Amino acid sequence: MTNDDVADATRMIAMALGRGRVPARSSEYARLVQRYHRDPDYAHMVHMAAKGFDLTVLGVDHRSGLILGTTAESSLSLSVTELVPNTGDRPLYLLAQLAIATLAFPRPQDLDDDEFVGRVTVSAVDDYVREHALAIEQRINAAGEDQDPPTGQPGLEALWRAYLRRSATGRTKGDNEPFGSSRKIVERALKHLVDYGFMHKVPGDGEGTYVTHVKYRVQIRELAAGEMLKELAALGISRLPSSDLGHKTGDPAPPTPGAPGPTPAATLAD
Amino acid sequence: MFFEEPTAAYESLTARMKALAVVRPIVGLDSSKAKTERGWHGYRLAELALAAVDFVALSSDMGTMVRQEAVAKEVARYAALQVPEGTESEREAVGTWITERLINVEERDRAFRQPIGTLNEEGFSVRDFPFQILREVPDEVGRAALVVTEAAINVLLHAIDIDVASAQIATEARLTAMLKRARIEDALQAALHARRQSLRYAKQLTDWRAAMQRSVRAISWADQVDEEVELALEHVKARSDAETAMRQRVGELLEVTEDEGKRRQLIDLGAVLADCLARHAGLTTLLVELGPEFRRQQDRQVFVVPALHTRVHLEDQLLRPVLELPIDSADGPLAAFTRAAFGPKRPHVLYLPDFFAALCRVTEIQSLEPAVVQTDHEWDESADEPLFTAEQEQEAADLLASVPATGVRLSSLLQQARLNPPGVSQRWGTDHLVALRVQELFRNIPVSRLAEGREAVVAIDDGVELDDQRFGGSDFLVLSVRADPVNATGGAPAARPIPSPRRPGAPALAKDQV
Repeated sequence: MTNDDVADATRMIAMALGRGRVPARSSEYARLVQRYHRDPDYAHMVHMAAKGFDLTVLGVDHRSGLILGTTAESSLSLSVTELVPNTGDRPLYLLAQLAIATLAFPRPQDLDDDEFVGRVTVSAVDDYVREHALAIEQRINAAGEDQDPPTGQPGLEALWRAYLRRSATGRTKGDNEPFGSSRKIVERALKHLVDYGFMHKVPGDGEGTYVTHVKYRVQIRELAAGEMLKELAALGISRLPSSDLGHKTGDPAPPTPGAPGPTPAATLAD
Repeated sequence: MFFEEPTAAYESLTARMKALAVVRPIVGLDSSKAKTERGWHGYRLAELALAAVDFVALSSDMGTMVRQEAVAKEVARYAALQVPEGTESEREAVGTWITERLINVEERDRAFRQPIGTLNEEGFSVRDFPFQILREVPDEVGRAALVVTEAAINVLLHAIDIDVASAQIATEARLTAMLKRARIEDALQAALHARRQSLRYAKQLTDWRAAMQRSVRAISWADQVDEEVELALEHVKARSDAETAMRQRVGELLEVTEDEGKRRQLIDLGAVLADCLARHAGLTTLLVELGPEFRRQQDRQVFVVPALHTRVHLEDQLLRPVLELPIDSADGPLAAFTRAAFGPKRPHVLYLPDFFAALCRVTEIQSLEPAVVQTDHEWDESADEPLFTAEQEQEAADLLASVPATGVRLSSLLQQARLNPPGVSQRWGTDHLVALRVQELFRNIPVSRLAEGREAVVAIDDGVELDDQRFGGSDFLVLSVRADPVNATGGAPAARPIPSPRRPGAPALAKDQV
């Protein structure tokens, strides 16, 4: 290993961090990606260089180049407050991000399919979350449980209620959609994904359609889904996919409190 | 798209429609009344019909013919495969019925008819296209026997179960033959057909590539792909050569042909051939890339340890549980998801020496064409109303040009400028323009003019405050200077009081405006 090799490895990290850099548009990047696939020593070096930044290599692909994931310690990790400064909108915004990914990759195998392109629209995402929230509400009403949050403790309100309380569209005095409407929040979430190159907006029938980029699938599959599973497991919640069990009920089973036990997240804790 | 004569383009539609028409009687068998009335639900009649066509085609190959009974028997054999529990007589009935349907015994002339639109010099018209599938002809002893018609062979035997490579060669041969006889219209059709073949070829290759990207195990490289790719590569090369030759031939024909219509057809043909060539270039790339792609996918999929990710059902495992959590508890998991989904943010500064290296590096694009700067012409085209009129500009320029070497204060220049009050259409008077110009002179000393030894007007800030009803700041001393040329005597023109370009105290900003 020479200094040139080190330069190549770090150069690849720099390329990955630069916005809109793809191997197809840079012969240097293409060469580095090729080298990564051919030269195991070099590949190892890239991994080590990424580690130095507290980043992990999620994948190297000739279409999207080097895809990096953040670890919680990384200073390059995006802070959620940057994306959504308003703390009131924050839970809904984050939920929108999850809903977008879920709707873009409805089946687990879609995440595995390298050729798969997900398609979502703002209203589809909003309707989708509402549908699930309404299903929960109906179930709880049927059970006669009281789900009102304790006074003065809005943080204890269930997420689905918070989403239902927010109007989907509405109108302000200026005849604009209010900034805090749930569809606006979804739209902002999608816009951020577009800004980061994870989605592309294409003209759709009536409203814009957003299509996924290869990178987005990798980020969700390799990192985001697992990270969230781990967090949920830490809260004592683990759920097996219902479709794999062969029966699909309309209403989800209540979360399983208690010990995490052998959860799917356990295998992810690499 | 490509320029094509509308009649020629439509002829291709007509041709394909005819081919599809031949399929219709076969496909229609399964939705026929007879099937339900006779309770033949278990039989797939269309498939049996194809079996009949196959049998007749293969049996009548060597100048021999086959009788209807034999065909019915053969169909019954297939019917037994479909419905093993059916009776012998039922199968025989099915076989007979199908054979009769294929001969189309209900029509007197035995022809199936399909109305198909055509476009020619007289315009658009719809005509009945008659065709047959099995035809009864007398055999060598004068008895009726069955043969398969050309239409049925082309469509039912050839087109559906087609080998892409050989079809392409056949098309090419046809095209060359037609060009030799200068049957240009037909040749154009053949070229268009060849192009469709190329499209299919490309599709097959891309399908292949997609399949191997999903899973290399779906494809056996040694058994299947390697040989095929070699063949295909050779084939594409040969096609490219052939099409280049044909283009040459088209060029030759163009030189000798006087007829305007033929010339246009030839030009169309040339365009289609050029498109074919471009496609083949694309195909070649695809073929050449297939091997490395396979190896890359193999590395990625086979030699790499199975990915650490487990399949996560986003809806069942993430979305549904999190919806039921209280907002405060949901924040952690959701924030983790979003943070991970977005990946690293772009740092503002990576490492300064990198920036230096990056700035010094010659870009990959070597064409260092100077960028086009806006010309005067484009300025004139600006839609904005100019702030000052040409007269005002001239007036200000005259004022500054007449500045003596002893110098004059900005305040007196402003006084002079105000002698001519602005017209009603002007928002700002000439004094404003003069103030701007002087400020400009202070900031940009015409160094090159001075260095060349030419006279130049400069503005100097000597600390005198401007006392004016509209403008504030320094009362600049504006004077015209001339320096010795730098290279004339060797003596530096250091004696001149050239002020340092520091910012003047609140430059000529309008008090009443801003």
